[in-house]
Amino acid sequence: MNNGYTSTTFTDDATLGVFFMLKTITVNNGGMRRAFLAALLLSAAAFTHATHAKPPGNLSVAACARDITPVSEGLAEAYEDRFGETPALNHSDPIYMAGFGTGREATDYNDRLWARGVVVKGRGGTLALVSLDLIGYFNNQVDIVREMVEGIDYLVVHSSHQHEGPDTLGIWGPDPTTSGVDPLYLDFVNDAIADCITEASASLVAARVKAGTITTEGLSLGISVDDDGFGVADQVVLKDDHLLAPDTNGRIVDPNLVVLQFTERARKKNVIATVVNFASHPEVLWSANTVLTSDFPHYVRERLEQEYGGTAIWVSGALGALQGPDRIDVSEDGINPVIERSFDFARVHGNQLAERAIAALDRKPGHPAPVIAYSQQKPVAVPLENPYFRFFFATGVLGNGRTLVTDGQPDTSIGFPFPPPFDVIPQALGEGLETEVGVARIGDVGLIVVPTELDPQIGRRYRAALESVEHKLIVGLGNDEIGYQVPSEKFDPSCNQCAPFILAGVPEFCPVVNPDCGTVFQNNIGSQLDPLISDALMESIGDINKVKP
Amino acid sequence: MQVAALLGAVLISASSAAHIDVVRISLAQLYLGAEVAGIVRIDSVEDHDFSHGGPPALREVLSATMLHQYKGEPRQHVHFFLDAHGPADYRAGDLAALFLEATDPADPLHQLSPEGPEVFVSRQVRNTEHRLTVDEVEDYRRVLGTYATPRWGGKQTKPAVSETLLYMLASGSISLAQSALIDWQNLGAAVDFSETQIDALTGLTRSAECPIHLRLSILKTLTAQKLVAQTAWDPLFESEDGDNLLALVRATRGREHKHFQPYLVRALGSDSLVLSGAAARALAHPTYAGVEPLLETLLRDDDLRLNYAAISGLLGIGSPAADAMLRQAAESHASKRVRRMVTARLRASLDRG
Repeated sequence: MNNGYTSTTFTDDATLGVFFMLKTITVNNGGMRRAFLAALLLSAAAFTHATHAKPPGNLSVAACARDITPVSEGLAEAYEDRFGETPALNHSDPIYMAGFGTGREATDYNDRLWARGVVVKGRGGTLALVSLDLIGYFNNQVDIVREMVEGIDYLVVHSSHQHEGPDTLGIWGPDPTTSGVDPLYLDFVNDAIADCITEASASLVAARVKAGTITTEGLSLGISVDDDGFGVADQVVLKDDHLLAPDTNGRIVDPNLVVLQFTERARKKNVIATVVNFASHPEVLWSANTVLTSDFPHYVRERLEQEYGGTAIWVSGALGALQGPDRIDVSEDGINPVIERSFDFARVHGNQLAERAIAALDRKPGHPAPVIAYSQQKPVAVPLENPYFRFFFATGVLGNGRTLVTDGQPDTSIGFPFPPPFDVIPQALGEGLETEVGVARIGDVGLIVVPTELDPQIGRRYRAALESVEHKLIVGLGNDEIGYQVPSEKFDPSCNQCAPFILAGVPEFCPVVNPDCGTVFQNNIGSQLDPLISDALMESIGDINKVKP
Repeated sequence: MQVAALLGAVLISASSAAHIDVVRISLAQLYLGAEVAGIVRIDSVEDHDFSHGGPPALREVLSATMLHQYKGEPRQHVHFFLDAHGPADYRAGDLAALFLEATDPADPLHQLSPEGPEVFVSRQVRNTEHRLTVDEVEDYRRVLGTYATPRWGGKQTKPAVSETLLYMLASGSISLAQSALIDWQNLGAAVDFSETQIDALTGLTRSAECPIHLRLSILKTLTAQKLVAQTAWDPLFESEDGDNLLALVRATRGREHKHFQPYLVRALGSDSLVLSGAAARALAHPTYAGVEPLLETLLRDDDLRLNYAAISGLLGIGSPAADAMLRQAAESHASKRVRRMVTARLRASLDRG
């Protein structure tokens, strides 16, 4: 039943877990019924609005936002110039920017980076979702944050994977063997997330929730080779993808933009938070930019907050293999493309995504008492097959407290397993990594939480399996960032197969022709990632599907 | 075997690996995987319409004049696509060392212009773009020329490799030096530097003209390959200050050694909060047991950033004394935030076993 995973929400027996949850719901419903009866009696006694009496909702929600812009001594003046505030320093100089090559030092600011969150409390538990404008956040840091907050049953810390912010993982330092992470900044971010959640938890107000799902078709001009008009381009086509998508030469994107909105139940119905989910790397500004920015999500949020007020939260979806804005064209007038890799592009694209999100929401009031449920699988152990990651762990470029794991125990051993003369290349020797997956449900909305840059074709499978809800967000880089996840049958092992030949200095003798060590397979844990993540996630999806609304 | 072939003995083959944005691919690997290699001047970067009457199909094509060619059929001009995540950022007028592959007939890029001029693909990214200043051209010519020239009946000897690597490291070109470091780190003992060459490398680590991160990379590689002792770090600890000293302190992470302790303790007492904090984090290893009282002083400092650094240091030392200090701080530290942080980190470290 549990396939070696443990579930922190349910007991090890999922059936018992569901029973426990249903029991909880029953108790809550009993309370609701009592309150409803009392309300009816009161109304009847007063002879007023008896027929309009509604069940009292029990959803309460609050949002929060914390500025997590990295500020070093060298950039403090630029921060003050840009935002008009004297900043607290939270980073040393220089600030290495993550996402492309190494040695990219930040020089200025365009907009602030944020930790933006929402705490949702209702019948079934309390959830918190915090979105970071960061390249990624390792699971060991999330574990620290979890110990810093109270009263949250399931915390999801998501990274937008934006490529124009500080290095928080390690591989974008001054050179390929020096980490770009300042651990002081990680402490600062952990504090910010914890403060955000604590503040929201103390500010919960009665709320309603509603959601919408809309296509992004037409959000880009479709005049470039890889642009099929969905506001995002698939930059890497995997083996046999053309069979799945013959009309687009195998390019597969996720055209779903999902919006989740919480409003106050009070008369004014103020918007508390609007969560937008779409699958595209926030990397409009591309690799030559040195101005810190959250990229196009900044403009999405700005437009949504202009429209609704409240706190707008961006959540990146299935980003893998390889979804991004660089090969699309957007236009303000519908004719002339905006200059690519510019803030103008980010603004236009962001605004258009926001307009689509607005169109996804109707004006009906949301649900006041949705069921809250969640299922988390942690740890999920994944064997590490990637010698690059082993090299980076061994040299301390990756890590910051995260280690490989062997038989469930931290394993910091380093060795030199390659044959001479390559027996000087250090490798971390642990078996693999531990990560986590999960699914959360808020009424008719599901959040599928994966620690990867998920291929959209897998995301489609997860969405289909989560049949108990209508609106399905895919929370990519949820509670971790462990690289790309492609369908197991499309994992290309050629780079690993050729390793002995390559390591021996005779790659030309490898019997595999044109081994693929490209982005998707280089930033990849290995061939077993997809089945292990999918098995664990399907278990959670199964749990959630059993929950009665 | 030529220099490039020997240097190309690395983790992955160059041609297929050059897609990745943070790839560690050396010049030698790029050379090995290329069908056309040379130093070029970029003439234009333009969108071309490949629609051929069909749906719109714009794609950027770069044109360049070949100034010095080292591989492939001789040609005066080349046209190429960039195909990579975070590709090189070439502009018209740039000088660059270019490594091109022919498009495969199955490649969509090949299908774009089946009737057009021969169009190559560059999979070079920011880390491997090798845009050159005028001053770098001669250094690149020499290195690429070495790769292209079979010696001694087509067999390359180790001294030639070490000479090439040393030349690249000392060239003053950051990208050449970083390429050399990749080859050196991957080849390890196979490079077989002579005593004189090791002295020259050690001298580079002390050269103020050399950027600190490059000097530290050389020093770390020398140390990892046991070509020098930890004492080779002493001159830097004695002479560097400011950001350089900060980088030096951080560079000791992962190569902890008692020899570094006095220097780290000295940095711990620095007036610079950033340096002091970095030293506290660099001491986060059982090797440095005994410095707990000094870290406890930082734990009690008024500055939260120093408190957090001290927590990291004490957790990393992991001694009973460190543990006792952390537990006491969790209960009675004056700062609520520190109590929260230390409690969380203790619990999280316990959860990890």
